[in-house]
Amino acid sequence: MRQKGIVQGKEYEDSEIEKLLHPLLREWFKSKFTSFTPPQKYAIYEAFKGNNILISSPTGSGKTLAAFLTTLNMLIDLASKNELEDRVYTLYVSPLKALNNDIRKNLEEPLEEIYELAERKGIKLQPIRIGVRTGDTEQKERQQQTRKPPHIFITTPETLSIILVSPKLSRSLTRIKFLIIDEIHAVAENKRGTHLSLSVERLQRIQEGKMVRIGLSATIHPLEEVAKFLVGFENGRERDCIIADVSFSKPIDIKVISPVEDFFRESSESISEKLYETLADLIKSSKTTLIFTNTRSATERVVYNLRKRLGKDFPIRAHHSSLSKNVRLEVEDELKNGKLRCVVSSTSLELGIDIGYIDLVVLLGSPKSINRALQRIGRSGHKLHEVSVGRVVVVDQDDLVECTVLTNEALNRRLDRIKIPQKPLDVLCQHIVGMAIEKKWSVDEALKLIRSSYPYRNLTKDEFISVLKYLAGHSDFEKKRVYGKIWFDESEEVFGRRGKLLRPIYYLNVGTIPDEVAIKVITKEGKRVGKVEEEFAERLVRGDVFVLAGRTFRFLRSKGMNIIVEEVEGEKPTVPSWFSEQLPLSYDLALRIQRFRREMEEILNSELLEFEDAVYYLRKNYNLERSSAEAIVRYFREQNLFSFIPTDKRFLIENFQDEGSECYVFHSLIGRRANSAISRVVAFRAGMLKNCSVKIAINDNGFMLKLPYRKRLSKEEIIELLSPENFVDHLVRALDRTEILRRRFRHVAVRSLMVLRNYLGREKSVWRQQLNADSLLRLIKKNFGNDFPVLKETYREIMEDSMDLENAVDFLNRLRQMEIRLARTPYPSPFALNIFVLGEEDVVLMEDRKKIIRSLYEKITRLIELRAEALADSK
Amino acid sequence: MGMEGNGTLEIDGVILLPEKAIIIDDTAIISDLHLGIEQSMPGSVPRLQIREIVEMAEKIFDYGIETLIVNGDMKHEFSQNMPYEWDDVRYFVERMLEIGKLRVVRGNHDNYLATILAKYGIELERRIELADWTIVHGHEEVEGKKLVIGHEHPSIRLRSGYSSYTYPCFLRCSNEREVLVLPAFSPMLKGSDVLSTFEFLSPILNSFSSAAIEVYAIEDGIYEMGDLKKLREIIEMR
Repeated sequence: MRQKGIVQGKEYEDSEIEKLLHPLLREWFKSKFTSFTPPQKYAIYEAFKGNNILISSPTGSGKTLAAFLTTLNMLIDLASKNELEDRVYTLYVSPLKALNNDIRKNLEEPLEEIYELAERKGIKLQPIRIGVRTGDTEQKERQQQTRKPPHIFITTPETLSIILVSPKLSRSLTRIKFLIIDEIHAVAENKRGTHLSLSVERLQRIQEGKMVRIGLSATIHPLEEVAKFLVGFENGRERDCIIADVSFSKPIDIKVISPVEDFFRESSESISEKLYETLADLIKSSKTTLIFTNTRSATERVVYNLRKRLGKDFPIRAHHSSLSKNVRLEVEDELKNGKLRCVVSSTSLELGIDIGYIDLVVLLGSPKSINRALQRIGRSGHKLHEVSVGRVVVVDQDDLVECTVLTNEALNRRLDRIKIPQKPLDVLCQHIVGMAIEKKWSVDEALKLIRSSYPYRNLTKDEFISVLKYLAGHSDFEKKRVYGKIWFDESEEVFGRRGKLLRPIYYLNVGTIPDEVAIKVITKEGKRVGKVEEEFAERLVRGDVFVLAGRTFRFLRSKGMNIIVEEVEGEKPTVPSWFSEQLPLSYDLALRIQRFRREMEEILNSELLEFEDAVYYLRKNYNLERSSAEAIVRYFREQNLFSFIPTDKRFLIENFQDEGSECYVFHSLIGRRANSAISRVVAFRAGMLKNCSVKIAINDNGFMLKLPYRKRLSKEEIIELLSPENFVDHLVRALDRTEILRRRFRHVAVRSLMVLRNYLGREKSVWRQQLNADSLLRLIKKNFGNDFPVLKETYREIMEDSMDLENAVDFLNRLRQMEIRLARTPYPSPFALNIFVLGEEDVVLMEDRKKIIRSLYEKITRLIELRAEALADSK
Repeated sequence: MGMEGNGTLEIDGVILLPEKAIIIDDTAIISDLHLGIEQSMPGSVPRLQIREIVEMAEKIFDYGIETLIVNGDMKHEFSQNMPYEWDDVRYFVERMLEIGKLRVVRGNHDNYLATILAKYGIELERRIELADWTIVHGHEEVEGKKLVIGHEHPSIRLRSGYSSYTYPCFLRCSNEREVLVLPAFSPMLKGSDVLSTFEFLSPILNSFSSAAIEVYAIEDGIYEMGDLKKLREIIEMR
């Protein structure tokens, strides 16, 4: 019987699975385990039958063995028959380099035991080779792998795309039985995953037999979409895949803790004091605690403050991606060996590195998505049936509301939907170059392969040809070839490689993570104070003040690849923290908080219910402590008295004056990604309407526009500003000359191989040394328009990946059914406070370049006149 | 002293144009075109600047000049022997010769340029004497009391809100010598921000203190920004 498409799997009996196993493996398994774990019960049988399978289950559930048992069985069987050949049977790809060596160890141990068992029984087995290959693998080992390919080959997505064009090694990859992709949830939503999905389809093309795909994922939703991402398409139809959903089998205990009873009646010092007290108490009451913060800088701050409380000898350490590899390994080892009582991490310990025994996970501040909350909390109680214990310690009133809804959703396992980037053209550029190195292609044949990758299923032939033309250099205005990476015959519709340099260029520039050149920051006395990204250094102008590692510096001058600064205390930074690490609130969760607000409003406005009833309601339905429930009720009551409560049925806009300027807070609770899109469009339109520059501040709960004195908006005007019509067009115009456009353009230009970051082994920064990125952008727009692949992808990435265009427009469309309320208030309402204190983050400029130089010129002229007067007076 | 209606500015008989050129008598001077820079980038930057460069150069002839001098670095680099690398140079030269005379000073990037110019009967000159000025590229020290040089690509970078903006500029340096520095004519070059870079590329400029350097920024017209020392101070003041 043939199964169809993506279907849910089922649990098989132990006996059914055991029957399939080689006697040696069966005996080994029974000596180690009493039974198969749930993911193993779902996966092993199906893999034996040659079916693709996606396994979603928590860490510590025997996922690795679920994926590899079939491989081990096959290899042992062949080894015992002396039929093992020198080629790769199983390819394992993981985005985590650190995980690769762990996996090798986890496979070598059982193999050793099985070999011992075989020896005792007098069975002769050929040796089974396991090889790891990443960017760090030494030349010698690489050559060895090429000569004698490992039977199980462990690698990363980037290395896979390089191996594909390696003439020798790719030959041992043509009869792969199993392809295992680990940590799919960590890549599906970003360009690394898109890149991997194309590599997998290129690997598929060179297969002589069936390659079974096995995907491993943490909790993620919807699994059907991840399954499609794993298996891709064949002849326009998705390949078959079985879903083993065992993600719910681990019980969780999750609760919100508010360090204070009323955030408005305590000073920020006392809130932070009580916060660390709460954390210290939690740490002391458990054996090993893992604390997650949302940013790297917060990680250091928390460790510093906890040491002050717990004593400097208390075993607590930080673990985040800015630390050196050695330090991180040291912390991981200490953790595994039970030497630490507490580790504070940002995202680096979220993923599957084995971290030993953790009995409590603390989330400091909202993790912003239910998936991330579950992923983080799942790091405690390592064994499958142990309860994962998580405590969410909130940092302010909005955080309290958000986390209350979030924990409730997490307990009910209502997950956020993932979003897979759709057909990024820059990633496609890299693969076209890679494919051209492999062979000569007809356009249709190549397009068919690319469309079999899930993110590219809707790529049009026109889009594909525009990318081919760009890479071939046809984009020249006189239709002449210029400096093509490939040749492309447009009438015959064939393309292929050009020049011998293409292979090394591909090797050195493949990948999707923008690696930035670091610029040293040095004081004028010659002391080194740290590093900044090159792009950041490049935008600094004389006199700029910026924050680095918690200290404030003034930029004085640049000198080669260094910048010279002086420390200044108490000066306001002039350069924004563009490189904000803030995690955005998921749209799905945002909508649930909107509903929660309505729930609260209904209770507060009901004449039958009193304060105590509301508190009781929250404690009962949201599993809250008394103090947290009271804090929420008080917060909502104050908002209700002062202004209105914004809900999923009412869009509230509040207007007040601040130092003469008109502030408009839009309570669009839709997450900062969607707010970012809407706020820029609304600011752009407001600027056009009132002929002024408009400053904006954005967070997850809404956004604020700041207009100059007396530039007042009527309700009718505001409704006009919120129209979904021409939204994309206005967003593109609002993005003109913004830092986000410049920054993303640079990244996309590098990923599209327009500007190489590494040319024939020389890593030199073309941007810093020569190119004027603004002019490049301007000239491309002028000569080729916004449809030029590099530019088109820049806008797509900003609007769809960095912002959330789809949901922004969705929200504006829903406004038609909502009550729109404009409230003019004397000062910011309780709900508006957090947005208001952000200050302006960006500005949609109406003035042009001329105005800026003119105002400086006028200032200079005035100063000269003043001096002349002073001189005349003194005479 | 102030800007003329058409955005130009005259100092001591030299006219500064917003087209990033200067006029002395019936001759205009531009510098650092870096033609072909797109092709010499290690990547696939399409051909972008030639059309704009030709348009801008043609506009300079509208001021009624007879001769255009390119003061060095007309071509970016000659590393590969790709036939179409010469296209931009040929295109530029042919378009200029249709309108007037063209003279070319050798820059440090101009290897092999002599051959191609010879076909048009143009000599690649080391230096050109014009009125009492000496026109040289400026990558090496030369004799002369009054020089016009390029090579330096001077610009100033300013902040407005959260964005920064770069403006090319002329520099007028004077002590016992007088040196006029032209901005890069190429729109693709980053330029070197004289406000935050304290060393000059050209050895000719090393003898000038920042108080002896006047800055003339270019946007829709020429903006006289005063001397570099004071300008740096004013910008720090905000």
